[in-house]
Amino acid sequence: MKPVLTNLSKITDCLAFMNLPISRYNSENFSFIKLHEIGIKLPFQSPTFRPDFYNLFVIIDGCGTYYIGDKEIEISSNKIIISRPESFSSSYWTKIQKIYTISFRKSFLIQYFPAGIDTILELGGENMFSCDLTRERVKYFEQTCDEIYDIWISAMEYKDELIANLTLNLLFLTQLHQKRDFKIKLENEKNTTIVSAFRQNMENNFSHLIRGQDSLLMRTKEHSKLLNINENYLSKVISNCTGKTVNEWINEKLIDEIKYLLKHSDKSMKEIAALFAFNDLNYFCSYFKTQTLNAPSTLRKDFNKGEKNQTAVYNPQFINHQSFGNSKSSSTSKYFENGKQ
Amino acid sequence: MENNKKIKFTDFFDTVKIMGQDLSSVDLDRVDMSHGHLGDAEFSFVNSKVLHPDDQLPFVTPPFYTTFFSVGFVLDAYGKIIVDKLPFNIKPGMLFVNKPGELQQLTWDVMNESYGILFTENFISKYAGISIYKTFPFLLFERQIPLKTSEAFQQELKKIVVLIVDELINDSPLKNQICANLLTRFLLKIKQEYWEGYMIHNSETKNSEMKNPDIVNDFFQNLEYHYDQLLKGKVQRTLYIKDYAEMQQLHENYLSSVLKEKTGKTGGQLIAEKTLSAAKILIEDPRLSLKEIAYMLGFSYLSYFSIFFKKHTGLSPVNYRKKSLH
Repeated sequence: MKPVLTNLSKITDCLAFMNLPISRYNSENFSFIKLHEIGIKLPFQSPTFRPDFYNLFVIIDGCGTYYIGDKEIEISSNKIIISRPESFSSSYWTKIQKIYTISFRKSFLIQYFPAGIDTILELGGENMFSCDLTRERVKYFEQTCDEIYDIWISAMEYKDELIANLTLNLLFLTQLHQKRDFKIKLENEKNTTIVSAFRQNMENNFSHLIRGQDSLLMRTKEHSKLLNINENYLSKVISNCTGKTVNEWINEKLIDEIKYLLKHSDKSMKEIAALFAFNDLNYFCSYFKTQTLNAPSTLRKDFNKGEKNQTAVYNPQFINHQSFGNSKSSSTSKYFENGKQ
Repeated sequence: MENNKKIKFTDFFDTVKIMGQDLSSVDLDRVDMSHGHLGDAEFSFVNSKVLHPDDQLPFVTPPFYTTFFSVGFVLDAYGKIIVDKLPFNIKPGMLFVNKPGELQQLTWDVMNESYGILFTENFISKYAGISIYKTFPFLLFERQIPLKTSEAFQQELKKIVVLIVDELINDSPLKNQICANLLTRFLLKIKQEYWEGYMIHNSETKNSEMKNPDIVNDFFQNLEYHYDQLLKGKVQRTLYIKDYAEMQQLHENYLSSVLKEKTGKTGGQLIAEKTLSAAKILIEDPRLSLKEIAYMLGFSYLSYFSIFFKKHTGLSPVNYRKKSLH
């Protein structure tokens, strides 16, 4: 009933895992996919990934749902969705007529255009951003996507620079759609750098925990050490710029991740607790309760109840793959909303 | 030129005036003359067709020096441009690029469609994070300009020009970033088309067998290379005109006189200008302290740096930083 849970992060690994035809141009830094041209059987439930890259979906004509962290975003025509790395995410598609997916690492853009990237990739402090586009804008996005694709498959010497330039252009336009009152006030570059470095360190820390490469959840003290700045100074900058304290950031992210796993995986409570370095299940439950006023098991039950009456479709595409950990759900199923497009 | 005394260094607004527009009655921050000219002193777009209506042709500018880069994109116009005393005929389908400090004189005889994009080094560095030296070295060092463009390539470039105009008119909060982005794309296309595999020859590996050593060009190359190294922290000291002369095995007086003759400025002035533009870029990066910047640029005391900076810009480094961060 749930998407296969993986913690794959690289673009190439994710594509290989789904048995999708991989173009030889795909790299770990950048990939461009015309979803409508790779023969996906609908409805399609993608596995859960934990990407280390940004995803930009340009949906000209399509339907579905995108899951990231605790959020569910409806996929509909004339819409763009952009997601940040280092969050569990999966997607579910019922209609794919014309959809472009651009995946890129931050480092890919930064190497060519170092200025101003931090601000546009913060996505207003969220882990994703989506918005509807006017018809003209959609056309512009579509044209630009086609241009990127043409450059991408060409043999131009400076194609990476051009691709980065065009991608950046789309990101700027996306940012214009974001509300003017950002949650994050990025007054000057110095603070922007600190905020985005902190966020990245925090997200990396979570990824390390989940992959078992680290056993400590970093708090203010560790973060300030990593950034080589004073603890009080870090706290001040973060709360002044973002309106949230360091611990609020960490707790929110933690709860977001846990909620995703509760909803979209079959992992037991104990496994989830262990994943985020909680030694004690009781502590995990009470922590979750203080943060959300709800017990973790209640959340899972409530969510599953809602899903029950949806039709389960068996998807043989992933049967040969082993999901990570010792999760038993190698038989993958999927669900989709009643009523087809 | 006939009379050297007439030649002035022009800042942006002087140039606009020379190009046939009187700005004195217009709000300088937001110039908009039915889109003959759009933008500001950092980045501007010029539609020559609007600026030079048929009844005012032929139009001749006096010789002038610019303080910014300019790209002329000629679709259908005839005229002449003289760059550093070398005349070129302007014909349809031509692309020409000028760098700051070049002496130029522009003549338009027939004008149907031609655009110009003007930008400063600071603009592209601030909003796109690009070092012209590293990414677009041909802008600084090449003399193979003007270029012939093909029909298809013209269409590609024109598409970008239209986007730039749109952006300048729309005036969104990210105007500067998007313009820098589009400008970069414009230049990248040019780079892709004409300078695939272009490399700057390093000052070390250079060349005794070059037939026509271009002293001025070599000087600029050495200068750019040295400041690039300086900003990367690979070298600590600034060089004087004597050092640059030695690099080309010339006497310093000879180099100075050649520079003065060709560029109208003394070597010391050119070096100071370069230092100043590097300083401006560094000051706008708030992660660096002013003391660090002073040392990076080879000043042994912060006060020397402050005095130098204030002398040339009228603002102290501290105030300049405050202004650039609003």
